[in-house]
Amino acid sequence: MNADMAPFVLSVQLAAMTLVVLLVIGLPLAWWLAMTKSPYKPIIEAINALPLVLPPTVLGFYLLVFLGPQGWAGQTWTALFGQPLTFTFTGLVVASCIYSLPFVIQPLQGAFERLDRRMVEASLTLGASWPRTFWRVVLPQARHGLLTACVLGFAHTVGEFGVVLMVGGNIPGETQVLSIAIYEHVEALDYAAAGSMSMMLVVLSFLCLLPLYTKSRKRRRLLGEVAA
Amino acid sequence: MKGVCVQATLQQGAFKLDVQAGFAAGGVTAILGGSGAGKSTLLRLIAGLEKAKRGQVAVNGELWLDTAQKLFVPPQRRSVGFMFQDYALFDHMSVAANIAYGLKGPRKDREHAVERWLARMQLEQLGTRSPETLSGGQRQRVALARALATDPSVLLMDEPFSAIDGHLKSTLLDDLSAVVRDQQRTVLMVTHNVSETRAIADNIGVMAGGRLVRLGRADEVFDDPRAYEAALMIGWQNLLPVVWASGNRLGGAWGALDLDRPASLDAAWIGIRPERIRIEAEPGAGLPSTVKAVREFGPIREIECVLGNGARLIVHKAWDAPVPAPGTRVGVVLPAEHVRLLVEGSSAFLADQMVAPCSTQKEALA
Repeated sequence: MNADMAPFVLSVQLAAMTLVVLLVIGLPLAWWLAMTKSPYKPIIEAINALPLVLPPTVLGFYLLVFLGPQGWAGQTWTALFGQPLTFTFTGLVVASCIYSLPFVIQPLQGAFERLDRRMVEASLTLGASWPRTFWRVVLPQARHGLLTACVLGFAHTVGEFGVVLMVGGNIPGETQVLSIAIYEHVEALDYAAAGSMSMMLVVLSFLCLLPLYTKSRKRRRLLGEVAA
Repeated sequence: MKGVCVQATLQQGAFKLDVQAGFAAGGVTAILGGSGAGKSTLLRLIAGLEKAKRGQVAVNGELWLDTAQKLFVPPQRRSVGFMFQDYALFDHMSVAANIAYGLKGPRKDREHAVERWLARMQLEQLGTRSPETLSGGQRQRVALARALATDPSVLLMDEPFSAIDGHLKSTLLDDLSAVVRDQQRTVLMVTHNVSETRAIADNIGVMAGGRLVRLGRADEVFDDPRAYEAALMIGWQNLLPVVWASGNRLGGAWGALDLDRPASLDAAWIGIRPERIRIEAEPGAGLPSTVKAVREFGPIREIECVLGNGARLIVHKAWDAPVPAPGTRVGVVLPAEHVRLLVEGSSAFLADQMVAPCSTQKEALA
């Protein structure tokens, strides 16, 4: 593979993996947050929103300590799989999930809160189980929130820098994502390479955001069918 | 065992639902009541969308809720069809997919069932359309087909005609009536509209303050509402408060009446239908009053009479019957056999409701 393309591919892989994990965790968590009357809800919401306000270096530092060989998460992971979490691609996925969590949870939670509850009730009274109701009614009804969550979760992960640098370092082919590679090229005063990679990031981010602002009927139908 | 039995209480903040009643199987029971009376909550309780604090719900002898046994059958395992006020159609699916949603079994059977329902509801050309693109009447027919396609034990309808007006409503009422009778359905329909009730209901339940204050055959309820709230709800205007009762006689500031049965202060009001009242030219015959106005309503003439204390009575006469001119002093006669005694139902429990499905339920449980 072209050396210039490797960070790009790695960034896309990282963002895709992170998004899949975040959807698996985020859909039930966002549903719970939208429906619960638990007194713990504000605490969970505040913790979820922390990555929005903390400097990435602070988050990265705690993640480094937490996921590192001395941290309990790092130790547990190493005991289970025989590999460290820090300075590996897997570590980057874990860190990115925490960093991008609010960008996935908040649009989903908002969409679930705006959902017409009677649709859910109609599905249940028609004999559909909860999983079927969620898949065939809730998700299609929340499709705009789902799309926003996917786009923001993916794009935010592609664009992350501080957390990646702290947790993953700069290992070509393993943890050197696009933003880190750009930084390295700038440090080496290779502005041509930095420029072409930056343009890749701009184009990728633009392509990610475009569907959010395209309200074509075709896309809506497609999304409805995918969820059904 | 057939029918719907509800004996339950439910608390929602300051609102309390307390219903003890059996709804007969087959035919339409209209649940009338003002806003906040608990009509929709009752339907939601039967469907399992609300949980009762205490009590039982049983349909056709099958227990769906029994708090004593900690039994709660979730809505998806109850055989109900629920038609929501503005239908809650799935706009991300086609009309056909909406109707097919609750169907089970082989694909071919489901497709045939959908085709049958599309034809039955005159929606043949609309199967592939999105519900968003349909008119109000068409949406209502889709919702009805979707709710009935699963062949539910009971069909619950929450204000099904509130979004529809005029001529279309009467067509839809006829359609609904035909579908329901065709299939011997048990239907509970919440409404606040008396004319809808007259058009379709076999039985009427009236709710007030979270309680069912009257339940009976439609003609019986229209003839004798028994509860003051029920009389108001079905549009009775001739209501006079009872202040004293002695033997067969009762009265108030408006005058006094002799009944053909013992009077009692349990009934705080008397009521009478406007077509039952007689007007005599001689003010001494009956309650002395003055004709205030005469209005024409198609085949009916409405005569408004004012009694000595200012209370109003409305009298209906045929359009060709002689009527006194406004300002005339007349005697208003309330024939004893047509005078109804009305208790304030929300504070007095009416024991003789239609409890048949519940009593058999109790025997089955015992």
